[in-house]
Amino acid sequence: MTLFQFYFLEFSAIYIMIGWAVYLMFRINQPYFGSLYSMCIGAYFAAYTSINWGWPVWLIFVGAVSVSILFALIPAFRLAKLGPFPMVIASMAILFIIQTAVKNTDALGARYGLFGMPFMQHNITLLITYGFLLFIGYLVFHLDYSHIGRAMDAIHFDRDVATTLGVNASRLSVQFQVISSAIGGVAGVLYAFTMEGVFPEAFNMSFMMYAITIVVLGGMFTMWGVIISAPVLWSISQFLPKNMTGLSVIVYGVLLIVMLLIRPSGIIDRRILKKFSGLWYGLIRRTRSPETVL
Amino acid sequence: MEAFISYLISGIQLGILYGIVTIGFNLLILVTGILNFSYSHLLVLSMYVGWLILEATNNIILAAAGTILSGVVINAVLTPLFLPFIKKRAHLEALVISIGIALISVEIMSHWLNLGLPIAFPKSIQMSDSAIRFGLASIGIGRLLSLITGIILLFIFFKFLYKSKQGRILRAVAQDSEVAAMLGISIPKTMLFSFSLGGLLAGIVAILMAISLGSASAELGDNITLMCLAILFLAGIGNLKGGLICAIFVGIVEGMVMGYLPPDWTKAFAFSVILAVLLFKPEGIFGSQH
Repeated sequence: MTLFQFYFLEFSAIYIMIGWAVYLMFRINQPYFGSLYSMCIGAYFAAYTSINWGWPVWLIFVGAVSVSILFALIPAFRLAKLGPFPMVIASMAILFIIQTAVKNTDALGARYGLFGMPFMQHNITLLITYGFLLFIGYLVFHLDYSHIGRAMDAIHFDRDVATTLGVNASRLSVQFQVISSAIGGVAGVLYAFTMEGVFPEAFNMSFMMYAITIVVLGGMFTMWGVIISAPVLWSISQFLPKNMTGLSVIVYGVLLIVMLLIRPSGIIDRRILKKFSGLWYGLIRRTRSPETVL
Repeated sequence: MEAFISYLISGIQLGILYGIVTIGFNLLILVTGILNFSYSHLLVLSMYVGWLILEATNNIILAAAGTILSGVVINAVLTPLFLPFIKKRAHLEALVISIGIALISVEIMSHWLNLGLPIAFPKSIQMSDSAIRFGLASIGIGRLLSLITGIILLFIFFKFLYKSKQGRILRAVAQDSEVAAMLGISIPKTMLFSFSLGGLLAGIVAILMAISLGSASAELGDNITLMCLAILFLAGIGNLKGGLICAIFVGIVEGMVMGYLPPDWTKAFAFSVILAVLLFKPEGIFGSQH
């Protein structure tokens, strides 16, 4: 496997995870980017504990997820009550405060970051990453296609009505913030092991833009869109000429605006999903029908 | 003591500029219902346009006119991008679009304009040679001029908003756009007007910033946005007068903090204020009017 193929597979999976983490909160109309600062926390946790303390990988994952959840829980109950505007600004604020703290902490490598993490075999990294991806996908799928999914829809369209009908919007928000941050923590550890280090600028405003673009392009109402948008967007940044690296953010921005204007529901919306599932079940019925058997 | 007075005047001057930009943010929130994240970034883009004209012509008046005009034109041209979302009341989508515009403008400034390097305005604009001295400390005439112009601009703006017919229309749409439409007010035209008025304010602030700061970089838009959002939430969204009072307060605090802490921490401080207000008093000190 070439290095490019490895990075493609690895970053696609990491960004799909981040896409799902952001998607969950978008579903309840709370654009929370806690998964992004959790990713930063997870990545730094992995880098610090592996370089300085030589922790084993499994312990790093457990530690990073625990720390991410803890960080998420501190403001979670207050954040749960906020509307979309304040939620965006509040989570951006936390992202920025964490980034500033990291940039000014010598123990975390300040502006240069932490590098020199132990090398992990590419096959093992991919195995762990795709194991997590399947698990997180399974979790998001079950949240999406259950009574919780219906509650998410109700909150998205009218939080007050949903609350009147017995949906505890604040509790659901706290739960999703925790899940979202835990996913972010896992993505952060995987990111750090892939890059063999971490630096603060990796989690700036452009990264937030990237995460939003993944979700908006893929579709804000289904979990499947990010599986297409995350690898496509990563590939775009790789295929741009080297002297035009800054162009990638412009491409993301333009894609985001065009998509919102012409197809606000994203590449894969529920109509497409319904058509696809209709075709799929039709195919299954045909293969199982007595005529086919005979 | 002299240094304190110098920091205080700089802080008030900074606060007045923040106040005008916050009014631009609030105007759009009240009339259109959207939080235009890209507003300050477009302001900085106008500074770049002014600088380019100055470099090409060496004519200060032409550069000033170009800065104001670009502020109005850029904001007016981008209005159609927001209109579909304003109509659908899809405020979140509009916010995401404005974040997209902000990042695109930052990328343009940090990669293509002046080779991505910060721009510097000539010293003659800043009038830094002539200054008023208080013992060891001093304050430049440019900064003082910017302070006085800012105060006059605020006076004119509030006079316009509360005494003119167009100002009444803006306030009516901000209060209830549906009733305003029933009474014959064209909502799209009013929205275009509010974007253009916001652009006009941004253009004038761009000139005042050029005079008082003397330079600009791609990141300046982020910094102004952060401070203005802090002020916006501190005062309460849509509260014009409260926003102005908080802007002056934040300007003074920033002026003081800048004297003692590294610049990075100034922004972190602004974000901490935003966070604290959002978490413990989401409606702001003066109450939201949106």
